[in-house]
Amino acid sequence: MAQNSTADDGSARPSIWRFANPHEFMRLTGRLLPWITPLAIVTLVVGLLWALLAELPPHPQGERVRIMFIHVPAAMMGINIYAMMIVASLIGLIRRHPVSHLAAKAAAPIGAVYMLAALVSGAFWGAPTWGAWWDFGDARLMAALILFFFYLGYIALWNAIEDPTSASELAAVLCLFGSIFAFLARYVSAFWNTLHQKTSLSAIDGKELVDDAIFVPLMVLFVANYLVFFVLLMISMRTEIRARRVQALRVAEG
Amino acid sequence: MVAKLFTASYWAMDGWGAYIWPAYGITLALLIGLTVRILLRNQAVRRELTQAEARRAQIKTKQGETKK
Repeated sequence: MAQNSTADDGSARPSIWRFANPHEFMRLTGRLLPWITPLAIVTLVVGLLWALLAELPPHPQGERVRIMFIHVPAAMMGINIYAMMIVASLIGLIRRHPVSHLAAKAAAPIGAVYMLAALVSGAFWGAPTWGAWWDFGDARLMAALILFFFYLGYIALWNAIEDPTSASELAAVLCLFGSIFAFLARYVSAFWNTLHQKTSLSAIDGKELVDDAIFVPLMVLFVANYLVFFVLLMISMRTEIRARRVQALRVAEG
Repeated sequence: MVAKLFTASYWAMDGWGAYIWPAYGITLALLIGLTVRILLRNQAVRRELTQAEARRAQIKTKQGETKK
């Protein structure tokens, strides 16, 4: 496993791939976690209190718009974590870095929970707004639901196959198949009329959709959710690396 | 800001409380459940690793004694 690339003068140059070495990864994350964990907790608490207690400017949806503070970050995380799994799976398949497969494996339950949270909070937002908890004819809702099933399938595949190498490769291929639904869950509203609004935040025709009083706490919650994801992912990956070590020791024992 | 937590009108959320609070509650419950699960598994695997390493050290010691 390449840990350093060589510069023109022959000296070793630090490379990002050295973190694919489990020992290096454990050392780095062991140093980062004590700092990032409290930061994630504080940011999440501040964001949630801001979302629930702040006086909001007049909005066509009234108080219901507060659901946006949890639904939009949850949906964004559900889709972006899948995108991260696609990249990790590709790196795992192409460069054969075992830590890449472990990253995808560790991210899957977190992404599944975020996707489920997005589906549930979306239903609670949709019921009073559209008059329907769910619409099986809506492309964006269905893409999000299928993406959630891909998460479950990915987790089930890892659990079903005993050999970690075969499991990682098959799960990576399944993950790549699901990429189309990650794309559709995010962009289908742009080219298909759906019950779900086209966009919650971005400007349409130069007109901003949300006031700064909504936008700023939403950004705080975006950052908080990324930090929470990072912490949970690092802990899960460290657990996976230790679990592999336990397995190796058991094999050595015979 | 915090004082409004003690008013019924705040919890009612203009009549939308029945949708807003469960949405927050379920999302937070899911995230807390996930975190607890990850931490428990982490603890269990750390314990297993300590035991496995102790067994390995014992085996090595025994092998060393047999060679002598």
